[in-house]
Amino acid sequence: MEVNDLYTVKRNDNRMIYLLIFIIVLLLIVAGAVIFYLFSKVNNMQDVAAKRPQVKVERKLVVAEPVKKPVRAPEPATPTQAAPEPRTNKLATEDIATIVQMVMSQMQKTQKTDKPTKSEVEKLLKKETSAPAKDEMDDLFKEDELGESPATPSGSTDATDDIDSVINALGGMDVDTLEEKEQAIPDIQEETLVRAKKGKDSARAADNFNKVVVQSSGADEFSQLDTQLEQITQDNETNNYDKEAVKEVRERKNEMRTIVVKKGDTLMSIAKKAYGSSKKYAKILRANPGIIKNPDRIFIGQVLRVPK
Amino acid sequence: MKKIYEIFATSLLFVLFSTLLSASGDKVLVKISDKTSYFYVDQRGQRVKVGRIQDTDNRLTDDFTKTSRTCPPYCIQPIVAEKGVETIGELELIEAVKNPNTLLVDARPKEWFMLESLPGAVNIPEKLTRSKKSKPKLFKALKERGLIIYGNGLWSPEAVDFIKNIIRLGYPASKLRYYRGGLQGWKILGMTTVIHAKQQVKQ
Repeated sequence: MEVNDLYTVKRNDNRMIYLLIFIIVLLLIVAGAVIFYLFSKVNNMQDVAAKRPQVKVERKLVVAEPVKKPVRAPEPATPTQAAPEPRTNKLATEDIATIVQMVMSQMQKTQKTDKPTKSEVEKLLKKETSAPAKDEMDDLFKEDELGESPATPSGSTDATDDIDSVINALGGMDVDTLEEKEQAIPDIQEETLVRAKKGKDSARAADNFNKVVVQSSGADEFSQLDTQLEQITQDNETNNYDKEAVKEVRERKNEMRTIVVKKGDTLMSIAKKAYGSSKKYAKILRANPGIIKNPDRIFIGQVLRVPK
Repeated sequence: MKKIYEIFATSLLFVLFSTLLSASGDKVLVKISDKTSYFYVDQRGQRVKVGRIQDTDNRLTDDFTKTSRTCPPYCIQPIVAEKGVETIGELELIEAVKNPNTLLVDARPKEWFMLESLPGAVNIPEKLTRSKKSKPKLFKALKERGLIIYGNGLWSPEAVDFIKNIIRLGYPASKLRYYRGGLQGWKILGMTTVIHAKQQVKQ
């Protein structure tokens, strides 16, 4: 009997120990999950604002590469550098970069390693500058609420000059050895060509805007009050304040103009969309000084001020 | 052996509990007050979280950095709008709007209000309070509520003129409060504002 009792007591003890170990392990897992959740939590200010869809950023070839090269190491024939040239420079640096990238991707597809022929580049140029330019501009600046007049498209290009410049830009590269290089201390020129990312700091960077767009619902006692009162008092005199307010409101409207960073945007492309000229990126930097010191610069979904 | 396991289990539970406790509190660098990091406001059915911008290097870069608008009409405003009307600041405003019967009134012209305003505010332009004809409709809508009136700020006369006008029309002065900081004071603190009309560039 005694032996039995001892035996059962021992078995109970073991069971208890195993149970305890199981509970401890469970608690550890839960604690780990909680801590993991905490650290990956995005600290977004506004839950109410419409969330941007989670867009994956494709790993493209770094487009900035062909244009950066001439800026860093001066090569003999590099008309694509950002230094302003007095002669006809109808294609913007950025457009050339896009064309170069298109050519590179085509070359990779067709497994060619020699430079593209003039006809091929001509074809690409025609595609790039004629069709997109028209659509882009029309959509952007047509009848939006700001009442802007449609900007003229970038215009027809002088094919010979630009083909030469594109081919020369391609001349300095090999298809196979294009890799992302470590960026040194960034200067403004390079900053403007960096594509928008979706980083872990994106929410924090976007937080500086801190304005919520609300829908004014009509079903409210006050929403109709001012229209009703307006009708009653419409024969009132306007005083000096009312006249000055018109000017102030116009300025306010210009200052409140914003743009949302989309996938693939660079500071220069945003400047082009907002102001019609990619050279006006400095204006965006001045209106959003947070961009300059932030090493990741701009993020997809970030709202930037683009005052007129 | 059993005791060791028990001690270990209880200490683990304690650690877990404390992590959960610390998790519930947000790590907010720039608070509104010692106790308040942010608060919620009902903007006509839409719940808006109001807090401050957390970037310690953030600066205002828009027209609210201007120092000198023409006076008149944009003259420096007094601390006391009218006798019997209390002048308040941001903290008092935050406390006062918790009361659902208090109304936050934006006294600026409508277009100005639509571009940017304080969360939870209602727009009654000062212009509409000048005439006696608006008294019946206005007072019927307001129902002698407690009002907090604000304008653009310490350089702008809308709020003071509004208060003077409705006191002249007969509204009790004790029900009125004047938030002198206005949109200027609200923005320089990095507080959340509300936009009623988007000014976005189409892409």
